[in-house]
Amino acid sequence: MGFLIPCPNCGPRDVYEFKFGGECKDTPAVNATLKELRHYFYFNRNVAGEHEESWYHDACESWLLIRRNTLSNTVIASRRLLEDL
Amino acid sequence: MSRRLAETKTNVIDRARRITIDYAGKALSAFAGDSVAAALHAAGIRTMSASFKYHRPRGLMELGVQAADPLMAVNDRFNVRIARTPVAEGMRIEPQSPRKWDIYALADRVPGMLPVGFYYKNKLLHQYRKVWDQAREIMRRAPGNLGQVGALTHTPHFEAVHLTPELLVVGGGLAGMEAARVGAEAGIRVVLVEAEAWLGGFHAFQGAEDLARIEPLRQALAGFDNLTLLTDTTASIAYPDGLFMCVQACGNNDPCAERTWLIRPRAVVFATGAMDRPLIFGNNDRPGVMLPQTAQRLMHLYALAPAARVLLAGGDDTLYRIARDLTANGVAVAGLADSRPERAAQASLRDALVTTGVPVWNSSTIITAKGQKDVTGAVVARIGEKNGRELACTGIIAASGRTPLLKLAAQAELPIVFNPQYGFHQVLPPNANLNANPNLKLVPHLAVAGRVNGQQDSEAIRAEGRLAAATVLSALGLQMTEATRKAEETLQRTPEIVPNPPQVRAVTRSARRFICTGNDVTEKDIDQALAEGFSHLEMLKRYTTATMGAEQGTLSQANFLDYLAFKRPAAMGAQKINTPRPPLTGLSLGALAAGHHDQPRVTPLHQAQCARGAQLVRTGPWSRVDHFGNPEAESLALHQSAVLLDVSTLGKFRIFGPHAKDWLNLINTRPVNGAMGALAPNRVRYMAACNEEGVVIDDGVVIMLAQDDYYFTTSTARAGSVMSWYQRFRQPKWQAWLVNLTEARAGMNLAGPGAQAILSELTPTDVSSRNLPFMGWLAADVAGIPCYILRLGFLGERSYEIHCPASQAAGLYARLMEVGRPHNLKSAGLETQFICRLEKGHILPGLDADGNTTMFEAHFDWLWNETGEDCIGAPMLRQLKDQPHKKQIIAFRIHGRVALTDGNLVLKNGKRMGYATSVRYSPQLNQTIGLALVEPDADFVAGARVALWLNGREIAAECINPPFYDPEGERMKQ
Repeated sequence: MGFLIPCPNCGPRDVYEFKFGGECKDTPAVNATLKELRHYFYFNRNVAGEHEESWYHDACESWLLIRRNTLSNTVIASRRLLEDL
Repeated sequence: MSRRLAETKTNVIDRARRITIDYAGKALSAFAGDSVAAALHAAGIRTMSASFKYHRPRGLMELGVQAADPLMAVNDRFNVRIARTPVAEGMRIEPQSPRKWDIYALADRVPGMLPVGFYYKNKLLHQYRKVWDQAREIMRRAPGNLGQVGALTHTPHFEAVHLTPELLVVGGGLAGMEAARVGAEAGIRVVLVEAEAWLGGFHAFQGAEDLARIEPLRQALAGFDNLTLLTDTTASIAYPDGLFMCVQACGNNDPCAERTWLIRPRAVVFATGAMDRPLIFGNNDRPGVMLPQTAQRLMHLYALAPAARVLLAGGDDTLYRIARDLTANGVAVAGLADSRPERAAQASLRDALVTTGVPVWNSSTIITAKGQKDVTGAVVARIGEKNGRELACTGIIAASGRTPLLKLAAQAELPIVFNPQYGFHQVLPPNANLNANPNLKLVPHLAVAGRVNGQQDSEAIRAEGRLAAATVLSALGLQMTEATRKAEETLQRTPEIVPNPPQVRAVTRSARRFICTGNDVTEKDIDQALAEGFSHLEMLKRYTTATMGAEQGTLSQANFLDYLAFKRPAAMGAQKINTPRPPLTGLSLGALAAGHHDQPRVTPLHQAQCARGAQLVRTGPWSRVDHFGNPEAESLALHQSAVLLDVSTLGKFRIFGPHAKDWLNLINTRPVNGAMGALAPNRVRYMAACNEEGVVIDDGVVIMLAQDDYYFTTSTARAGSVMSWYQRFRQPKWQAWLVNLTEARAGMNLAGPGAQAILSELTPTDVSSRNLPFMGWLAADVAGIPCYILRLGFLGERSYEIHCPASQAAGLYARLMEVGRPHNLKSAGLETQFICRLEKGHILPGLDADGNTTMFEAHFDWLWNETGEDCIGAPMLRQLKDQPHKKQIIAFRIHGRVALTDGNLVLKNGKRMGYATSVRYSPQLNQTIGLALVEPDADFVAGARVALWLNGREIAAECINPPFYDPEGERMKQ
C-alpha cells in the first residue's frame, strides 16, 4: 500500500512520512458513560468510500485533517487541524 | 566445449578479454560479456539444475529479462539467476542441485508417487504428530533447485536513489526508445529503464539488419540532458500509487552490489516486450529444449550454437528465421515442424529454408522429446495423430507463439483482458468500451507499446512507442496533437497483428507434459485437480502450485490459463489472470532494505563515556551506556560515595505563553496550578500523563522558569511522540508555544552521599539542602556553564539532575569526573539506574505497567485529582475510580542472589497469576528484588509468601510494601 498525501506545509509527500491518527470522531463529554467511552475508543465506522481522518506529519510537526477515499486511497482534501496557526 | 560462431556486430562478448571462472571446483574459460549461463553453455554443460519436485534434469530454457531458473550459488550468494548474471574474473559458481546419487529423483520414476496435494491426502502424515514433524522437514529439504542459506564472505553494499521524472519508460527496445525520445524532445524529464546492459531489446539479437534499426535511436538518445538512462535495471515493483521500484545490477567495478531506484513518475509507458510461449509436448522440460529467443540470444549475443543438431517446432515465422540463421552459421537443422497448415508461413522464408535442404512439415508438431539426461531425439507427427517418426537431434527450439510481458502493467492496475482473436492477453486499449467490464478502469497517464501489445513489425512497434508517449503526455496537459496524428497514420499503414497459433493438445500422454516447469506441474496434475472439484482459478493455482515456482508464472501462466480455458471453456474461457503480485522477479533483501540504514542516536556524552570504557546497549533509537564494567559495583558506589549518570535521553521541552499552563494541565493529570496547589517558582513538580483510556503513558517533572514559561522532562521512550501528542490536543486560539529541547540540552545525574561536596567544588551557588532542598531547583553556573540543577529522588540517594547546553555537556562531564576523583566518584550507566530505581520500588510505565494497566492499578492515582481541571483521560479515570482492579503490581524479595529474570511467572497453587516485570540482585541489600504484574489476590499482601517459577521449579519469595531501600526516603531527602 502506498499513496501521496498533499501536506499544506510541505506539498505532496509519501504516506510513510505520516502517522495515522484515526478517523475523526467527536470527543466524549467530560461526564461520558462507560458505554459512550467504549464506543469512542473501540468502534470505528470503517467507511468504504470517502471519510475524514487525521494524520500527523513528522516533517513539519503538524496534524492534518484529510478527506480520503478508502477504496482508491485518493486524498480528496487536506488541511491543517488548527487552521488559525 | 562448444566452438564460438563467427563474430558479428550483434555480439556482446569481448573476445580479447578472456575470463576464468570456477564452476564446481573446475576452472572454465569465458569471455567478458558472457552471462554465467552462456559461459556454462559454452563449456558444454547442458544439465544445470534439478527440478523442484521430481528432481528432473533441467537446462537453459529461457535467458530473457525475467528468466528465473536455473539458480546457482555465485560467490556464496545462493539462488542467483545465472541467466542474468555476467561473468567476472575468479567468480565461484556452485550448482545448487544434488550432483550424483539423488534419492528424490525416484519421485520421477515411480508413477503417482507425488500426486497434486499429496501432503493433504496421505492420512499417515496427519495421524501422528511425530510422523508429520519428520515428513515436514524432509519436504522442506526436498526441492531440487533451491539453495541453502549460508554466511556471505563479505557484506554487499546497497543504496537507494529517488527520482521524480515526468515520464518513465519501462523497456529500452524499439518502442521504449521511441517513447523516451518523444518525451525527451518535449523537454520534460524522462527516465528509461532497461534490464539489459544495452538498448535495443528484442531487435538487439535478431541479426545485423535489425541492429541497424536500433543504432540511430541509440545515438539520438545519447544526446539529451533531460533523459536518465538506466541499463542493467529491472523494474520490479509497480505500486498502485505510482511508485516504481527498479533494481540495478551494478557490475563488478561498482562498490555497490545493487542500486534501488525509487521512481515516482507522472506518466508511464510500458514497453516491456514479449517472450515466447512454451510449446507443450512430452518431456518438454529436457535439457536441450529451449525457447526461440534463447536460441537467438545464444547465437547473436554470445556467438554460441544452441546445440549441434537442432529440431524446430511451433507455429510462427520466427522459427523460419532462426532456422535460416542456424544453417548460415553451419549448425545442422533436423527439420521444422510447423503446427500451421501449408502456405501459412511467409513464402520467401519457407522457400529459402527448403532450398537449403531443411525439411519442413506442416500441420505437425513434436509429440515427445527423447532422451533421459539430454535430448537425443524427438518424435514428430501430424497434429491429431498418435504415431510419428523419430528424428535424431540434440536440441529442440520450440514455442507456440508469444506471451506479452504484462506483469508490471498488471501490478500498476492496468486492465488486462484476454484477446481471443489474437490468442494472448492485452492491456485494454484506451478507446475500449468498458460497458462489458464495469470493474475495469482506464488510466490515462499509463500506456503500453510495442511487442507487449502483440506488435511484431518494427515500424508498427516504433509508431506505437511514439503514440504511447504522446498519449500519456497529452494526459499531463502537453500539446501532442501533431505527434499523435503522425503516429496513428503510420500505424494505419503497418501490417495487422499476427495471432498466436493455438496450443497443441495431447493425443496420447505417454510422457509428462509440463505446464509449469518451475514447480513441476503437468497437464495430468491439472486434470486431477479439476476432477477433484477445484473450479476457481486462484484455488487451482494454489492446489496444483502451478505458476508458483521461482519463475512466478513468467513461463507458465499463459499455458496454465490456456489449458484451464480448454478444459473448462464455460467457466474459465475468458482467461482472467491471477492477481498480480510484486515483485516481478526474485529480489535480494538488500535491494529492499537499501536506504534504510540503522542510525542509532547517541547523547552528547557518548564519546566522553566511551573513552572511559562504557559498555553500550541498544534501547529503541538510542545507543546508551549500559555500565562501565560492573553495574553492581557501580550501584554500591551510588550508596557509598557518588556516581555520575547520563540522562540526556530524557525528553526535554520548553512550553511558554499565556496558555502554557492550560496546555500542561490538559496533557498531564497533575496540574501546575489549581486544585492541587500552584507550582512554586523554586519547586520541582512530579507529574504523569494518561492516554484517553486512563492508562499511564508517561511521567516526568516540570519546573517554572518564569511567569508562563515552563521546562519539563518526559521519559526517554516518550520523548519522540511528545510533540505530536501535545499538538493533537492543542485548542484553537491558544497562545502557547512548545519547543523541543531534547537535542539541545544534555542532562546528567550526580547522585550519592558525596554528590553535594563534588558539586560545591564547581559552583559558587549554595547547593546544600538549606538552599536547594529535595524537590527544589535552581539555576546556577557549574564550572562556568549555565545549568538548571534539580533535586530529585529517583535513585534513593541525594541526587542532583544537572541540565546544561548540549554543546557544553562533555566539558562539564569531564570537570565533574575530575573533581570527583578524590570523592570516589564513579561513572555509571543504565543498569545501575535500573537496580537503584528498583530498590526504591519506582514503577516504569510501559515495563512494570503495560498498556492495559490503569492509573489506579499502577499506583499513579495520587497524581490525579478528580475535582481539578479536566485532563486527557479524565472521563475514563472517573469511570475507573470505583471499578475493581483487574491487575495488581506487587513487590517481592528473596534473600541472596537468585537467577530470576524479568518475565518469570508468578504462581499461586500452581496457577499462573502473572509475571515478574523487573528483577535484579541488589548488592546493597543482598537481596534479589523485583516487581510483578499479577491478577489481584487477597494473598498478595506484605509479609505473605509468593511463588515464582524458575527452571521447572517453584521458588518462594516474600511480598513486601515497596520501597525495598530506605522506606522513609530519608537518604534522598536529607
